[in-house]
Amino acid sequence: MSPIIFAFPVFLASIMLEAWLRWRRGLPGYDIPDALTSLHAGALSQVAGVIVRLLGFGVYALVFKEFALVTWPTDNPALWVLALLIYDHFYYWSHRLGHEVGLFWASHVIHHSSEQFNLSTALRQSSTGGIVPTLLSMPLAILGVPPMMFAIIALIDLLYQYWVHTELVGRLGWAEKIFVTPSNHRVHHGQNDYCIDRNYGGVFIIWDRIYGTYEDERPDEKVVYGVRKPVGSLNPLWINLHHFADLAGQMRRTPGWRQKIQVLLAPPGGWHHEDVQPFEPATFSRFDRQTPADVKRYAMAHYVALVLMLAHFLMVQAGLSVEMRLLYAGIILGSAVTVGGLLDGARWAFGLEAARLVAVIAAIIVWPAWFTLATPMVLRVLMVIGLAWSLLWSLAGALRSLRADPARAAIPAE
Amino acid sequence: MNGAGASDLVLALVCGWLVAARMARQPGLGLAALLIGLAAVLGVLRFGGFDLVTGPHRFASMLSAVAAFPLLAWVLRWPDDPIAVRFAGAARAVLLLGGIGVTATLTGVSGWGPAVSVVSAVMIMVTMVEQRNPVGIIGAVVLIVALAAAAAGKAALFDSTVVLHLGLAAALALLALGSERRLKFKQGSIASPPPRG
Repeated sequence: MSPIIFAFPVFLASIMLEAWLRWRRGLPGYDIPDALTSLHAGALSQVAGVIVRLLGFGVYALVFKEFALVTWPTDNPALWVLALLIYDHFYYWSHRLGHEVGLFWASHVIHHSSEQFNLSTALRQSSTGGIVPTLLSMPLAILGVPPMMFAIIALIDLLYQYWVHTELVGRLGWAEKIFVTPSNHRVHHGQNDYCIDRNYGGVFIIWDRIYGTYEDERPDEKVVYGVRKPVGSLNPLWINLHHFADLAGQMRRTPGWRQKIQVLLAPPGGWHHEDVQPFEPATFSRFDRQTPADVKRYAMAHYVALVLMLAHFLMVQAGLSVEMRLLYAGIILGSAVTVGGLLDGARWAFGLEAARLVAVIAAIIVWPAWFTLATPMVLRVLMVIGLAWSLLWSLAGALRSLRADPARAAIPAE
Repeated sequence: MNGAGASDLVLALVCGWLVAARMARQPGLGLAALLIGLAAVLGVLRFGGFDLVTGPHRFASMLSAVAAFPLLAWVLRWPDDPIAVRFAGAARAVLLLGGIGVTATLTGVSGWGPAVSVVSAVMIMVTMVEQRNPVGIIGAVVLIVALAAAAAGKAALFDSTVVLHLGLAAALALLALGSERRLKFKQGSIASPPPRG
């Protein structure tokens, strides 16, 4: 079972606490569509991670088995700290490559696509990444860090990075010199000129200081979060894939196969940073889809259902056949995409959501053991009632959408 | 130290010379030499009786086969490409080639390393012939002979490991000298060969 399941309640509770504290301090509240998009992306990354991370971890385990110098004992705390230090060094480089190599940026850009900066942003993770850090960490396998120790330190490194995604914590004195903190990580998420390609560290910021990529947060210039080329969507599938589509377009337009390969290997701005223009924070306007309040409420309710499904998926997936695993993953993906489409105001979303709900209701009625989950009859009835209400709401929305512009009803938002 | 260790030492010295002499001007060539040199240094230790490094030596050798050889072929064929002239470009190529190669080899595609090495050697040979670079052609021939000797393995009458190491050392030195000559042609300090035909 994935240990990340146990972190779900902590994530959700801390996000709610942060939202409440922001409200108490009179700061701008959470942008609910943006936060839900981050949470949807996080859910999809966990589903995809079952396959992607497993491949990376499998290769790590094979390298350890075949080529390890020695085997590190796991009962020595000093070795755990050393392993974390070495892993974090490789994390720094994989993260840096995630920003400086076109192909890897396509995978990592999703994490920077939010123009908000809060704990939900931390969960806006890629569904297509995860393998590069493991490949770069192969020296750990050669040095003899056992796979389980590696998996645990990788998880510690990842979980540490959760809390640094907040505006509520100011500068932390001496800790700024050693650790990644909310202050120096805000710089990493900024699109101001001084923030670009800075502060890549995972747990320790010392790597940035050593390799010359460190930058302090400036008190006189508010950090503007996000990327220079905004994705302009709340659809978790599209925000995962949009830069791959951009790269494919660039490759089509670029003559010669060697130059096409350079599109993948060069930094996002090209080898000479051709596209980088000076940034003017004062003229920046944040992406806002003006999602209606009822859609926000609907999306929040269905996110709760999605989290429950995700937790169940992660608990049982190892015992499912490949087909069942893909089907369950597809249901979670479909839920995130259609609800994301609703938040995005996509015209296809109401119809697709209605179709999804019909399919789920039918599955609950005719299939008592939902992927090995034996649900009591009362709960199933309640679920069907909830979903039926959702279906009516979706159908009403689809009708509204058709009346608003029948000619464009079938045209996707993008 | 046995013959394999001594021949690895020769290879390590040649690679060290290439890294020192070419890393600044031709980072792609320098990085390829660094990877092969790392494997050679580990080989010197391994064959010198330090058995602990057997695993790392095998891994570095595999990485050389799947990443350093194709990088070398690329750099020799396209010396002006960002992968050849930028350390960052060469390092990215190594990451991709190495990532794919190590994953493929360990997940059961055991012929990946030898196949990539052979394709790289053939590409180097074609490049040197097209460039009419005599030193480079000799280097490519020596490289192919060295790889063939390695493939012959224990069936051969000679120590295939020693032949591989010495052949690689000679091939790298000759190819580096050949590419140096090519660079000088381009810079105009040596007259270009007359056009063909």
